Amino acid sequence: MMRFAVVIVCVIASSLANTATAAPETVYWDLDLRPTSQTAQEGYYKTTLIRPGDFARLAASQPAATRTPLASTLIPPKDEFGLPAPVWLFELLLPATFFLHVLFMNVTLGTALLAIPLTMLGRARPHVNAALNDLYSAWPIAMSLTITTGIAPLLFVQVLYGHFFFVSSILLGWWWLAILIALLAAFYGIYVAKAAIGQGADATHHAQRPPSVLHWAALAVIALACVFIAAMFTANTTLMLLPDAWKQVHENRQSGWTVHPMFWPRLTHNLIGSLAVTGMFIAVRARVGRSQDHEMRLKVVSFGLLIALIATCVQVADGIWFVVTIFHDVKHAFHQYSPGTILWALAVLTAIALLMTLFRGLDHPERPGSVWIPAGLLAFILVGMSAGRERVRVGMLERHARALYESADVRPQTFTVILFFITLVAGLALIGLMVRWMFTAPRNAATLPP
Amino acid sequence: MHYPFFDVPQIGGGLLIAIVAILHVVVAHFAVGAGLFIAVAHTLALRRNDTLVLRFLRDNSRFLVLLAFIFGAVSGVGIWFTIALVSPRATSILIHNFVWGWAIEWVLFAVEIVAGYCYYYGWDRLAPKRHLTIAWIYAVASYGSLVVINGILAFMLTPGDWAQAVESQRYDAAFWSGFFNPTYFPSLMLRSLSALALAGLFACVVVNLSNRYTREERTRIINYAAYCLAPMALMAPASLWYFNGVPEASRIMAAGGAIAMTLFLAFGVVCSLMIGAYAYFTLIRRKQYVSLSTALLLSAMALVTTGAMEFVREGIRKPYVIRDYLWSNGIADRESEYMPIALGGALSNAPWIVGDTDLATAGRKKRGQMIFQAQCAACHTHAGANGIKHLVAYSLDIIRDDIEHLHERKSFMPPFLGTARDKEDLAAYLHSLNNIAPKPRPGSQRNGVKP
Repeated sequence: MMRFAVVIVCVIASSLANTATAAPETVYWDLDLRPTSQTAQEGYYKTTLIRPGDFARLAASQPAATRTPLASTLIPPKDEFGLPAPVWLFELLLPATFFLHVLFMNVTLGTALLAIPLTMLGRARPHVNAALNDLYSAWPIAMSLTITTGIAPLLFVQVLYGHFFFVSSILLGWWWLAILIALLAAFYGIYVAKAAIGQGADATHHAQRPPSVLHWAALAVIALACVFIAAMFTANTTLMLLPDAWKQVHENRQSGWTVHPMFWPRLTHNLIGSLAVTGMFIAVRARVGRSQDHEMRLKVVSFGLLIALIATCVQVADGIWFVVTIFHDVKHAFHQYSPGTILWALAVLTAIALLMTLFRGLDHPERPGSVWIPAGLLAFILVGMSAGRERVRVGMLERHARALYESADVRPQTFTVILFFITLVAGLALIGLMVRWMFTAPRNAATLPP
Repeated sequence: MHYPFFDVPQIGGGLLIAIVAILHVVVAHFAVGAGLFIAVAHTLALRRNDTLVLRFLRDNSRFLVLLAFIFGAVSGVGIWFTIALVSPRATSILIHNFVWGWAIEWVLFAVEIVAGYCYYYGWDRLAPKRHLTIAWIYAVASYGSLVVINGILAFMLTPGDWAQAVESQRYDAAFWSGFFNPTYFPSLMLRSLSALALAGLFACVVVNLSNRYTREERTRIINYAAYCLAPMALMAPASLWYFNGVPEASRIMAAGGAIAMTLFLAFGVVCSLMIGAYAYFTLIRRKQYVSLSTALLLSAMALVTTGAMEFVREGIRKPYVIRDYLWSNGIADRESEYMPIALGGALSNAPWIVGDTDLATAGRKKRGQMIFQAQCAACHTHAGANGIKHLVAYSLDIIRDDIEHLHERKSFMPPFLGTARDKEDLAAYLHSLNNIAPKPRPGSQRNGVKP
């Protein structure tokens, strides 16, 4: 029965993919960068409708110096102090720390999206409730670690691309700043939702008591806030890639959010991806958990794998849509064999393997490999996607002459870099030690003297 | 000039940063002070088998998570978001000089967060020795994060030999001379005192929020926490030490040159002395009790004190964001940068402001308005906080003369950069805002003194 359901989902997903692939034919940008006789006189480009990929065609058709007179004056100069370490080091640290960030971010966001449907489903299904309780217990820590691990990629993106990122942030302005309010609302909302369930709630207890209005309200606020934050990050990291569109946005002739057709598939890619990771997290948590009986654990594992499978199927369709919207703009970047390109391509192939292992895992949830193999594959996909994402970013920005940092801009602070790595290793070791202590400690041991 | 302008109506970008920063600093200092307080108190409590203190530390750790880990973390990111919007160039310069400092800070912050959660969830779970070790890891990591960020913050007022080291291409030396700058240690002392005091104050609040303590138990905890509060009296000598290290222009500003700064500084120092003296004489010597409302009042005083001191620290840096390098309006105090503007025109390199406007045919006031945005709007709103409208109620001649000698007459203002025409245009624009017509008053010079 379950297999049948999955096949149906896959069919729907692939038909969605076909629709999505067709969609860009009808998607137009409210923006034109093709020089016309009028624009040539004025030195910039007038507003009409153009298709995705026109930036790239434009780039190919004209030498950089004359290509984008507007963009080349609006892009702020690189920082006069250059880079305090080689470019490659930042290009490595940015996706590496971003990968750490998305691990926690996906669980936080996925839980925000799943909390309401799972609360509805869970009232008659104890295993759904058990999964929900696992998510609840991890939620505040996942949120906290999302912020903590998000700081590093935010730092490194400002080192490498600050002169693009600051501009797009200012163009989004108060919307961008509103992330802080959304973040506070979501974070405190999690504690309100947890408090609304009550201390010591277990699956059966939770099932007997219908959620209060406060509980529903908290979940709704968290979900809205998290989707808003995802949308703003998507909007900003998209707008920073499009200096040619900045002028339109600055003059309020174009929304800063949806300036490129990649916005919607990119946003949904983030949202759906979070469901897949959260599904996988449910399965892993149930696999290593000690609190439920064996039968219940297997049901929860299957439930998590099913969420991951459905989300991954839809994600494949969404990914195709996403790639189509950026294909013309970045295909030149993917012609070169860089580590980013190779890792991304491997991640795409791994997605197929992931679907297969999830599919098989549903039949044998009791096998350790049914959880650990797809979890490992999913982690690798996140690595590959993080690396590919950077390649796309560089691919889109390198169209602007001398806009990216080069080795000539490096002013190395060698000793300080070494000090950072020593701190990093020591910090990770300490974190590892503390986490180990927590996981190996028996519950209800006495810390307080009698 | 190179970035679009983020408009903060009425309050202005500077005040927006101040609001976010002050709220963050209070919570972040609390997180640091609480780390030291918890580690020491936990060690002593285990040694003395003091269950009351352990019970309290458990409640305190929950408060720490709810306040510091949520509001503190989000507002910390908030400062970053805000400064990048308001002063993108200064943010970029700080990041490109101190990225490794921030990266080290990030590692310490991550250790702090994980240790904090392990400490909080570790009650009833971890063996006492391990739990205590985690308390100390938290204390060291959180204090370490203060040690690091303090260098970058103090750098902005007193960059030390940083610029010379950069010019001579000694980049590691530039980092360290900027980091261990002339006000690094006094600033660290001020922040450490403030952190301890806030930890003590919040302890008084936390113990009053729970109804699980008897009056005697509360009094004991409060008297205990007062040991963190009393050192606040040392803020006065520490401030002297600090002001000994700041540039002379800043010292003059704080010592009467800019009366608002002097008053804020005096409020800060006097409040600190009062809190410290209250803690010593009332709580430590006479073992008295502090109610919730008094604890909140003291916390509010500490917030005002911290706010006042931070405000002074930011204020006496004017006209610079980074002393002797970057003016508040984002233009570098380097001949290679300001001469082209002074000679080529204030709008010669301001594409975001000029847009499609044809400067040759644009009206005088329009050009003046754009020049205002390029060089003044970073600090002055139109009619709100530090509103320019209220500062230009003079004749055209006086305004023109004032623009010419701006930096000479007011040490907190950067020089005006632009051609003679730019100056005329700006003066015309400012004069057009000036619709305040003062009524002649009896006794004023204008009417002559009448008996």
